[in-house]
Amino acid sequence: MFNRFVKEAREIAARAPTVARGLGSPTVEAEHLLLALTEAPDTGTKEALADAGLNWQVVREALDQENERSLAAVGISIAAFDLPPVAGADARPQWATSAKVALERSRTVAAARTDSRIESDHILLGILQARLGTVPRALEVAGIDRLAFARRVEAELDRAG
Amino acid sequence: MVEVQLSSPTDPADGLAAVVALRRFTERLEAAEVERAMREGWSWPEVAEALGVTRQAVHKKHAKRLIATGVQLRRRGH
Repeated sequence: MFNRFVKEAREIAARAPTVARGLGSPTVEAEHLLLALTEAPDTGTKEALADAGLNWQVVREALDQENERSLAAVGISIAAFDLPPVAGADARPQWATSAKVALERSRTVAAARTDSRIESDHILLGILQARLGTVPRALEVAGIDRLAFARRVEAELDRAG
Repeated sequence: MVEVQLSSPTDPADGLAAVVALRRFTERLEAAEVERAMREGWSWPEVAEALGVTRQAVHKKHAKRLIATGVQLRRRGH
């Protein structure tokens, strides 16, 4: 699955299930890859995210707000529930489609750029390609122009390459 | 108390995002309610029947987590 991924990119993919589990999610989703990227040590990707105003806390809050907003659309006020935080799911969370698609897109992005190796920037670009779903909605909440951000990350890759 | 006023999202993107959020919400609610039932001394077969799933399914999904969080579980048949 992680053929051609550099060490840092593999570590992101390895960290995503831990992130998911810590948040009580039974599945690994694209947002868990994004959160893992905000914590990736010694990567330009973490810096690029920070430059856009995205760190772990900001992404978490944006995801929470997106969740609240989406539930509010069907008349559910999450604030009215007193749900305890889930103390870790049972098994290893399963990779869900949104995360698999993001990783597959990171490969496609690298191939289109004729980059031989897949780095954490490619994972970010793979995540940013999603036009619909939780991540683009959360980014919208955070006030991020998704496509402009992706172009900046690509420009950074061009410079580094 | 929770007030649920059903409304219809006007945009399919909002409606579909609500489905995703509801799935996440259901998972959290199930985890919390199963834990509460077990803390109050419910048995696995009772929780399973209330959820309309098999005892094996509910056990597989929740047992490890509840044991890890220190919930005293009733033994089978008691």
